[in-house]
Amino acid sequence: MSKVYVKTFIIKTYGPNKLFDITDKVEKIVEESRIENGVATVFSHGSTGAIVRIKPEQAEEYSYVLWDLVPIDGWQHPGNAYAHLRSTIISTKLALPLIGRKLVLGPARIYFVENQCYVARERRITVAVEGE
Amino acid sequence: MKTLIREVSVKTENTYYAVDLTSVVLSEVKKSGVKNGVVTVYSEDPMCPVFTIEYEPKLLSDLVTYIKGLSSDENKARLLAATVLGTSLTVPIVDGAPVTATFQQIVLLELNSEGGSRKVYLVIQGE
Repeated sequence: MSKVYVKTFIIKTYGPNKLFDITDKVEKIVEESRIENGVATVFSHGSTGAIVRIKPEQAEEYSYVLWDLVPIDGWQHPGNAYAHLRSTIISTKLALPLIGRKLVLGPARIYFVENQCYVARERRITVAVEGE
Repeated sequence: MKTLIREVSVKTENTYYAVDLTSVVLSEVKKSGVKNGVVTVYSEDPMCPVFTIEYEPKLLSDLVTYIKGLSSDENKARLLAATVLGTSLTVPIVDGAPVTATFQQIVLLELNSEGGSRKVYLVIQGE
């Protein structure tokens, strides 16, 4: 019988171009779900952040090359168009297989990307775990 | 846990026409009775990606500018954009509603050379 477990957590971020490792928080929710096999969907609320899965040793480089993906200026939307466009392109969702109560992560971690110039911004992230 | 599938038809007027799907997704989730789970929004047409963005005219215009920058040939740029943005989106459902924020809409973008009637599938799963 398949079931679903959904939980939201909040992290405090700063930015721009900072990555926050949320792997432990996602794994804790997966653990609580008691679901053995299925899929975990990680989703960040809001339209300027993003969720990515990358190798920790590439996290710093990634934070710099984000400027190449979308430059900061040249847009019509006032102020933070670059952050919105990155959020749309990279996406605010990530789905991971769950096998034997473990997420299939490979040599990577799950990060929230703070694109905006903020200090202590509260970011809300929901994890939905489905399976058996 | 149950799974419900809904088909929604939307109309686009022309290329780069953006349809805000947020309210139809919300109403179908409410009708489904699912309180906790996920909804997957899927566009049947491969040239109509579905993604999240603030539905604001200047920002949507910025997205089109970004798309046109993907190739010197606009047809190729649109084809690239369709795959970069992707035609499916999964959003968790909490307390009977998708968790999208106030300035975060679920949007379908027309990237064919003309507008038309487009089919969107909603797969609602949960309990």
